[in-house]
Amino acid sequence: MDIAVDERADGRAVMRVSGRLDLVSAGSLRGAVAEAVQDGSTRVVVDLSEVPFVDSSGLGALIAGLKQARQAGGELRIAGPTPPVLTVLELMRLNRVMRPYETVDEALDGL
Amino acid sequence: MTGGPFVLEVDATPPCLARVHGLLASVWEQAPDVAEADRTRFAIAAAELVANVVEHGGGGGGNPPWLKLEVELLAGGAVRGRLADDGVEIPDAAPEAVPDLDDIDLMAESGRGLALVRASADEVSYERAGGRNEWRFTVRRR
Repeated sequence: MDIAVDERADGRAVMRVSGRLDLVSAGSLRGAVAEAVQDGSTRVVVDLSEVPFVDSSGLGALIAGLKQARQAGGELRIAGPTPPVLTVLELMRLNRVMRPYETVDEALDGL
Repeated sequence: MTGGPFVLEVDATPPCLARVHGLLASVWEQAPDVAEADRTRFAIAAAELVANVVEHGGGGGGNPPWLKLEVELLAGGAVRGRLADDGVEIPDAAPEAVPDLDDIDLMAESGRGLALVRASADEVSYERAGGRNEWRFTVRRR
């Protein structure tokens, strides 16, 4: 899995994740979000459009990121989940706490 | 269409997760009648159970456990999995010990694995015998 981080000057960051978000890679996402929030990018969009699969560790990393962002006064949004990722989010009812946005631009709108 | 078993036998180390997905990719090539959503649910159950062995099966030391994943295609577009491993016994594997989806704190950072397995598969059973764990799980067409 790869994460491309785009920290913008306005305190927003976009993280494009490519590959499976699972036990192996969840720690990298946790680290990337923590670093961005520490840098002052407290409003984070995680682009999941290139993530074909997520497991409970990956879900845990997203929730951890959401909590960190909110604790710093910001927010974390997810964009473009693939059908398998959407299935997992819905099975675990996490779409209630992380509304999936269709695109990164939609997630950035009003963030 | 029926077929298999498709088998993966490996040490339960992090790289084996990629091999689980590789195995499933070859299974789906033989299974045009298994719907996309059902493939996803089966993959979640299988990968989550394997990840559980990778993460906890070693009991915090020594060599990684051995594991064997078998996948069978059943009539009617159903898929059955069997996962055996010689890792430590899995606590809270019994259905009554798995938290109900309504009882999981949505903001919890861990503790979803087995609930996710049970939410994904239509039938799940767990047995500990002879120093091994054995999971059987089936996904049926919904």
